[in-house]
Amino acid sequence: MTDRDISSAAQHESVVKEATNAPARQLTGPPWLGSIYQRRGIDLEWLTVAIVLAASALVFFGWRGLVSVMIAGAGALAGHLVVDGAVRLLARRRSRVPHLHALNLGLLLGAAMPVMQRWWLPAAVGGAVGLLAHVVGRSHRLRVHPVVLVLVLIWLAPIVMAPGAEGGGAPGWMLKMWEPIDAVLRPQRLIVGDVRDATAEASIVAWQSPFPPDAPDAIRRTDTGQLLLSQRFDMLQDRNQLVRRLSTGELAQLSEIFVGAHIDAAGASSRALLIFLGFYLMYRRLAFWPVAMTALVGALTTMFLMPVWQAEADRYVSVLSRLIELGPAASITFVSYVFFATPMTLMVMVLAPGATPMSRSGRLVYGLIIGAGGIAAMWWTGQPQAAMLALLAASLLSRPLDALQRSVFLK
Amino acid sequence: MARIRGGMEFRQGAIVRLPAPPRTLTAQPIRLLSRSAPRVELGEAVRHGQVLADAGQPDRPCMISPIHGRVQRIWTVPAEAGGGWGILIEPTEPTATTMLSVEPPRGRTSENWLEALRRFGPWCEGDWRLDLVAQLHAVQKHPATMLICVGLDAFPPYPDRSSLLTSFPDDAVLGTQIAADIVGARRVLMLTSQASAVVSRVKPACRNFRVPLTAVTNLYPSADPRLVLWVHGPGRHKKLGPNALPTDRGVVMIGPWTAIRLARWFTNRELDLAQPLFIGWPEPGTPMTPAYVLAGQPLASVHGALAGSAGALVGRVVRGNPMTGQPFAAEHDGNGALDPVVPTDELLLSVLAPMRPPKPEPCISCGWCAQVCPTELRPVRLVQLLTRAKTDRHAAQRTRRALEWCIDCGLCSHVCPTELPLAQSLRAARDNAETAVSLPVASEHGNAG
Repeated sequence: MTDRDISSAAQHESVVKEATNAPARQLTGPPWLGSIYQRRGIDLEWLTVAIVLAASALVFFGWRGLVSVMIAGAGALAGHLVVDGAVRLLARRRSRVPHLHALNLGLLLGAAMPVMQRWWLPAAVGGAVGLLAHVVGRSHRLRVHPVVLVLVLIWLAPIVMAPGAEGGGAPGWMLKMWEPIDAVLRPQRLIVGDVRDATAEASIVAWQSPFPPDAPDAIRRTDTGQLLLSQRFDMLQDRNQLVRRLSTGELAQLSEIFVGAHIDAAGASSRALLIFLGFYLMYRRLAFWPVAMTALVGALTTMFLMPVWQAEADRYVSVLSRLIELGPAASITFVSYVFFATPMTLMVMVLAPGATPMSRSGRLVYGLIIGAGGIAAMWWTGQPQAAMLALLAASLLSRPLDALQRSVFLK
Repeated sequence: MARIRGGMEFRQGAIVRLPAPPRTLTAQPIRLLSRSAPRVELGEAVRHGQVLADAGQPDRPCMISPIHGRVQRIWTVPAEAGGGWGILIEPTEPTATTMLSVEPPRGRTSENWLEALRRFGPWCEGDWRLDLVAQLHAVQKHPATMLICVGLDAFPPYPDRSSLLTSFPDDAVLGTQIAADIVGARRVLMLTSQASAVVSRVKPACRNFRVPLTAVTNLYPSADPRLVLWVHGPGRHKKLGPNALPTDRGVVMIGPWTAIRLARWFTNRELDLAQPLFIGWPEPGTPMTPAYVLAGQPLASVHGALAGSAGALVGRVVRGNPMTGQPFAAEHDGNGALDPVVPTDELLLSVLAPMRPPKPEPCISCGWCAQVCPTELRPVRLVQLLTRAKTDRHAAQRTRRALEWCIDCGLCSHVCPTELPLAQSLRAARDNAETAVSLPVASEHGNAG
């Protein structure tokens, strides 16, 4: 019998009756107070988070950002309803996944992926998340966040489908589905502008710089996280590399990253908003601060220990030793970029609570895996999205980590 | 100061001030339930303070009549209803004297005190059933090293013990000191909530009588004796076994009313037969309604909201607090159902809000049940293990061992967002395991926590 098999009260009752021959009436009794919170309430909390993220997509990516999030949400709902209908038809019972939960997952996915050139991708992956919600997630044996699973697939799919040296690979139209819109609305055209009406070349001026009134609605920018990770060794070798990219605007400024005016996930580009939402979830007890704290500690420690090839010395040195040589200002800037220009903030503050272990010690280990694994994956692959692999691995371990709770009374 | 892990902070309710117990109350018919055969006969006139039944065992208190009256009826309670005898006394006077003029025993000889306390028992309060007589009997074999007066409220929204402490701070502290003398405990501790209204009243009294005061955050269920011992008990071996008394660890625990009653007996040379009764209301912020009552008087005579048969009160009123309280048991005297009466061992009754029928949904592994569990169990996992306990010996061992440490606080069910009946399932399994199912002996390695 699986965990899912006993997850309704009726089953609890039959289970207890079967195990102990207890009469059913014994299941009534104290507490005489109703449940302090309801599943529906939790889904509404998450819906609030998803709506805020969708609103953020509207600000910096215009109606296209919002529509992208909505399409993913609608796709998830559609996928969920298909499964729900099939379950009703074949198993003659209701599915255990609430509609609101599927909608939340879809909206969260839409907010966690960039605005795409084509609408097909958000619709397709939204549908996929609606299907996956019935197989994986908090209520299932495989406690993997469906959104994280789909985000990893979105990242891996174009890599797998890309033509190799001898050609082949997926058809071009399919690869085009994965092309993001690498532009962000300029300040004068926020909310109302069309993000596809963008400058021809990637802008290397700061987002808040003055633009002529007849300039396109959006400016094309380079992905800061991608640029940082691809140039990480150069920047650690030479302080001027970091300074030059910052002064020219090639790297978005940290203030822009915090506000959300850079190329990133549609609804999760603002780091300030993500941090705020993370604290909100902690306040509502849907997220736990020890996870975020241990993730931060694990990430910092791992980053400091990562190897960097030093040509002059003809040997590997640690990132920490390079940071010490770069000086405090450059070091702090570099470390801040690694945290805030990559999906680490989204992962730790918003996605990680979706698969947190139930035990206190388990949460610490879970946070460490996310932090350390996320940095290690990004460092070795040079891809910001690789950080999601760590969250995937951590959520796969989530159920075994539950067992780390050991009562002192039982020792 | 160490705190229990887990638990939950409920909003503290308003503390109410009680006047001194009245010397007289309107006489009401008294109905008492005795486990041992009555010493009185049908139609016999009884005086207040007269022994009605005596089990003859040194750890069992006698049952006395709180009024002058006449034995109206005696009937046998069937074994399936708990067994024993019911005694109904009709008052012969319009008012009942609530003070019994009797001298407390002289000196500190615990045998004398045991006999005196047993004669005028029971001496327990609240829903943790720690009778002073049973504990005093136990310390004859295992000397006590510590006495704790647990002034923490069992359920903070209904601060019954805090109300008693603030109403009679000097008596509570003096009574604690007297009780410590009786049991021969060297260490004394007055444990109260951190509420300033309580601390400001109790602290001067503790200073006067040199009783150490420990004020802690009243985190539910930190008033549970097992948790009190775990956090505040002496020595290294703080754990209290599932069926053990605190006296097994050299600790005697009393509640404030026991201490107040002892002190008033000592100073006034009169023993209170009336007891305070608090009625908690479901509306947040509504203060409790206090009253002085006699054990065994009809519940309907205390407050209109308590009127009705036991069946009618199901889901409306419980003995104790809403987290752990029990419904009134149905009683019959052969002629029909009897209306409930004021219990002898309970100072709090809770009027319940209408409850929406729960709609259980699949567990979402939120972990709240594990987070609030004061004994650090994983209730939902434990319920899962119950499914395998019948066929899997290892699962049965783990289940049984963990079930022993479920203190039945009800928090897991209260916080479960999917409304799973976790506490109810665990209670059903434990009750059944205790009475009928012989699970394999617990293993040292089994762990479901």
